[in-house]
Amino acid sequence: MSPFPLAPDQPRAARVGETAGKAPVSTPTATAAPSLPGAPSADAPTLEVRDLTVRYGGTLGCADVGFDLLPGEVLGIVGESGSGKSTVLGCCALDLSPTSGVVRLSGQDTAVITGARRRRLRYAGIGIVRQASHEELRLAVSAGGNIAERLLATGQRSFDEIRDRVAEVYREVELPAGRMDAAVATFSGGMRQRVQIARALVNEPAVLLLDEPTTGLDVSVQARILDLIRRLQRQTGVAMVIVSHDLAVIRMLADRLLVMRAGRVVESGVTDRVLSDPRHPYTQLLVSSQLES
Amino acid sequence: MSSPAQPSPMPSPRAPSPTLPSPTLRIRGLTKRFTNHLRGGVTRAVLRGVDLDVEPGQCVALTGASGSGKSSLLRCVYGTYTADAGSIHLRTAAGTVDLATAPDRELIRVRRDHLGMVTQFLSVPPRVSARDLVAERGLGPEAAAELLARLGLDPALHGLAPATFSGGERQLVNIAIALARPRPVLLLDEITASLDRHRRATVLRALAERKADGTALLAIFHEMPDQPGLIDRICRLDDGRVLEAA
Amino acid sequence: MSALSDLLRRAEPTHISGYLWAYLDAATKREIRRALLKAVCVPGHITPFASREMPVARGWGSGGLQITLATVVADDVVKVIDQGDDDSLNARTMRALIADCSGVATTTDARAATLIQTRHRIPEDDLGDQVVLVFQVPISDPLREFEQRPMAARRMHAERDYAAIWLGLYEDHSRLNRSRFAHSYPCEVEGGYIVSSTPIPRFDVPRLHQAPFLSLFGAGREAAVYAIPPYTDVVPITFTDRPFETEAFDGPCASCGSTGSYLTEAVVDGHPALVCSDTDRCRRRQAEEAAR
Repeated sequence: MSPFPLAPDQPRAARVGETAGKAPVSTPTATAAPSLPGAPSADAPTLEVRDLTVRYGGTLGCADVGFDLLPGEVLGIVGESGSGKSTVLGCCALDLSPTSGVVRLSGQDTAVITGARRRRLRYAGIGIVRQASHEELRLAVSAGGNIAERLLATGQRSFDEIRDRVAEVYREVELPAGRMDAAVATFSGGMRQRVQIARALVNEPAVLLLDEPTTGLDVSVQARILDLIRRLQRQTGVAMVIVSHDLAVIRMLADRLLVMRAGRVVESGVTDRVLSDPRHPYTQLLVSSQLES
Repeated sequence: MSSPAQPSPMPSPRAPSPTLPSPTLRIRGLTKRFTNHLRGGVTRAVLRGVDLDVEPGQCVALTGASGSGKSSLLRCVYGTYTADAGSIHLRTAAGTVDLATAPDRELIRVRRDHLGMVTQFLSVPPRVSARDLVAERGLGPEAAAELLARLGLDPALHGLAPATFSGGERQLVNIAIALARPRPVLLLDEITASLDRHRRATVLRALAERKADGTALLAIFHEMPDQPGLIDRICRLDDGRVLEAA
Repeated sequence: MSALSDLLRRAEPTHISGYLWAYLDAATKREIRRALLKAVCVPGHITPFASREMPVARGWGSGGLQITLATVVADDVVKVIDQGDDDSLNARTMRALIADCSGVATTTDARAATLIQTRHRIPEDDLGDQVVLVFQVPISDPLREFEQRPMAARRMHAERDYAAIWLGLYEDHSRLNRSRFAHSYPCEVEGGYIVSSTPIPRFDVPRLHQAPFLSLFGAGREAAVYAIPPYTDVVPITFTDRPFETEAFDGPCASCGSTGSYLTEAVVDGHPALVCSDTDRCRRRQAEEAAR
């Protein structure tokens, strides 16, 4: 039994569809055949970002960024350090507030949600995995405790149920049995990322945000973490935004891709198209700078 | 043609509706050029107005010298390259879509349901087993194992990650992934290049079966297959133009 | 008399006969009473106040002493205990200070007292609504252990974000199979703030729930007060499937034979033994036994 019971049998791509009003342009030459129907409009975006601009004083974090994410979709964001990709992710994670623009989570404008409701939304609706695990985890607290915290924060009060659920997710991310009650400080970098992933998914959030989840790990650990993320994403059908400077990571995980530079999106599209046929000078530079794997 | 009477463990594509007018794939005036901004914006045209039709159940083989635009044509159809001009109409039971202008999500959906592509390169996650890679395309694990076995992959390898396989074995996994889900159009880019004679014959037989079931094939072959009746038409490209379509 | 009207009566300036009556000047009393009024109106809310220098060291009951001296009125009868004991050095000197500077009557009998300053215990006699309890608090904020940044902790209280405390409880139960808290057990007040029931033992925690008396908590070093008004829900937080447990003792009190009281170790007739920590009640019970 999967600990992530959300539609485990449904293939991920089955959830990808068109939003209403963006029906495919179809101009058949001979006959007026009906165009391919889009998914029902009830399939509302999990995450919607419109005209997002963030200024840090006089410095531009990001400008006019927009995208939406349907249930089950995976969006990649690439760009060099300082390109604004983490700023965008920070707004989606409700860590930052936009200077202007809108971030909607499951249809709700996150700007008007404040205080305790904002915190609850963050715990219940958003999972996050950060590059620096200590920003997300309490190192002195056990692995199980770090995972349990999100259940406790959303009001679960049965110790046995929490414990069972934590153990289930702990197993699912393939952490060593018997160390669930050991402090995270004693865990290796790869294991900490697994704890973060378990913590992020324990509440079955609508969206999973990954900020350079494998950067700084050695190659074999990196591969295993990526496999885990990929498998869990397919199993749960969670919508995902992954920020990385590693194009191989993006190519493996993302359906669609945004390329950012100096705070702006310079190119976007289906992942293999952007990476195989880059049109913007910066994307061409990025792709040509990548080592062949 | 393979014997259709022989029971096939492969999933069959939906039978084409008889009311559907052919062709399945209609390409008109397809143009593609690359602009390299890193070399001062120099442009290179790879397709210069290609017209091509592929009917349901037909196999069209693309030939031409290296650099004539064969692979670029397949990639434009699949959407890996963005067409600069022209149209690529794909007709399915659900309707017609112009792949040259289809928005991102439409393209992703068409690829999932209607359009498959196999290349000679396997790009898969490093630690997922061959069986799981095929199974996650909508098959059960048993059906995935059956498909792999039928393509000639040793069952002992099914549970291992293809990263450890030989070139030929990897290619079988690659083909199995593409065949896992029945789709009315398959694009094949030198998929038998790394296979030995025996495996090549097995794969070509599988393709012939698909063709008999109505799948349209647009293919580049490393060397023309001797499978009788597989290729219906040869389309020769030269410098991004169709030279002859026989 | 409601707690509020009682406190308002104590806040009336008319009874103040002199500027330095009861040690504190009028302005200081007003400051502390205002803080206390707010604390009573927002049960469990940690309210800052301008803590004064007192003739005891910070951390030795200066918060409790300030509350006592700011609320005491001329007809009060004051009892001071330390660990349930009226006769410890600390309790005696503080009682003497209060009596000397205000002239109010003192007692060791909880039933006769109207103002009880305490450290570590709630007197075991049934207390009515005529009495005010003043607790000397070492650490006022139950979040302190988990969140050291004061601003962050205040925000967590404001948002009732107590996941950190629950996380501490989760860690205790998964590592020790029980809660670590022997005293200062975190309690939810009226379904809202979580307060530290400090520093009373778990044994006394259930007595705070729907208690008829007003409880005032003062932390002099931290310059903070909080309050639990009478007849307020005070619920020790615990998992639904892990009941809250009070201390249990193997035998009765070695002095009075009581089986229902909180016991501490003492030397009786040259031998270590468990005796009542509430010394006055224990003595009364011994006298009753002897009279029988």
